[in-house]
Amino acid sequence: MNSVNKYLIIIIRIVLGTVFLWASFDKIIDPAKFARNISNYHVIPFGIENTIAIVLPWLELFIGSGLIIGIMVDGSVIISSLLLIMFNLMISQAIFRGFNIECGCGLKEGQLVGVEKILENFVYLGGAYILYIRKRRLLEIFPKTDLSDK
Amino acid sequence: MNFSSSLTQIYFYLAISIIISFIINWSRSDSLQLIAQPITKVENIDQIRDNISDPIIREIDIIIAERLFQKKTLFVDARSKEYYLEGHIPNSICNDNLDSLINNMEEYISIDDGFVVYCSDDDCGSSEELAYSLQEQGFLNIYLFKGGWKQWIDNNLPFDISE
Repeated sequence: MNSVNKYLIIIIRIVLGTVFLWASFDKIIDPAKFARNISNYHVIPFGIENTIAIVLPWLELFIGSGLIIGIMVDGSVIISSLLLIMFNLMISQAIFRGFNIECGCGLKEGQLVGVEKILENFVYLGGAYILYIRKRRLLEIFPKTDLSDK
Repeated sequence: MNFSSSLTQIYFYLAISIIISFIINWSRSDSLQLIAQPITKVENIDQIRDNISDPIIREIDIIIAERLFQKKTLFVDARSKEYYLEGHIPNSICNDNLDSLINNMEEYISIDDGFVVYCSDDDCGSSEELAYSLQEQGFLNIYLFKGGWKQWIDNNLPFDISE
């Protein structure tokens, strides 16, 4: 992956970071609605959805910011990948069980669960994979490593 | 701390998210409880009352729903119009658009009158979502019929197909 253009890495960082940042805003503004969206998936033990709805949007906000600004990018990439995998598992089981519910993804108001959302998440996951295996670390301000591009 | 380690970075992100989110939630006027409380269930028809002062959403079962239907309580169908036209509880109002729904409802009931919201079945979630939206709009006394259209039909209760 040395051949991957260093600017492409930055573009992927900005796009993926923006997705997580954008997704967090509505959830931070209205965590109660997000908690109900989580509850509708019927996979979380009752009651815990509130705690998830409180914490998860802020995690998305921080990793999104980290990706864009270049702070602890490795950690951001791993967490964002795990979240995307978890989101896809949640959506898949909802589709499998025939739930016609709101996605609660935070990107589009009223978006329902569907295969297109799973495919969209796989695209983001592909971007996260490219970031994970990157060698060049251009414009990563913390932590400074020996691999930082001069 | 060695922040070059991915694991340290993950722990840091998790820790900062938990701390900040809890502080922000605690300081909000509309803060969430960490553990969600279940919606109160109406166990028998005697617990049904109008003219309440504090907003409340309560869950009802098929028996209570049928009794409320017999008492000509307003029913609101939270499903899309497409499903509503395929069949709905008689005299229920379709939630095609929140603003027009509220206008429609205000023709039939006042803000503190009880009414029932339902959707497809226990898994649909849109009835609960609509109930909270209507509560935000000022409606005080909302009954959530989670069994919804499926349970209504399964119990051979009357339905309408026309608009």
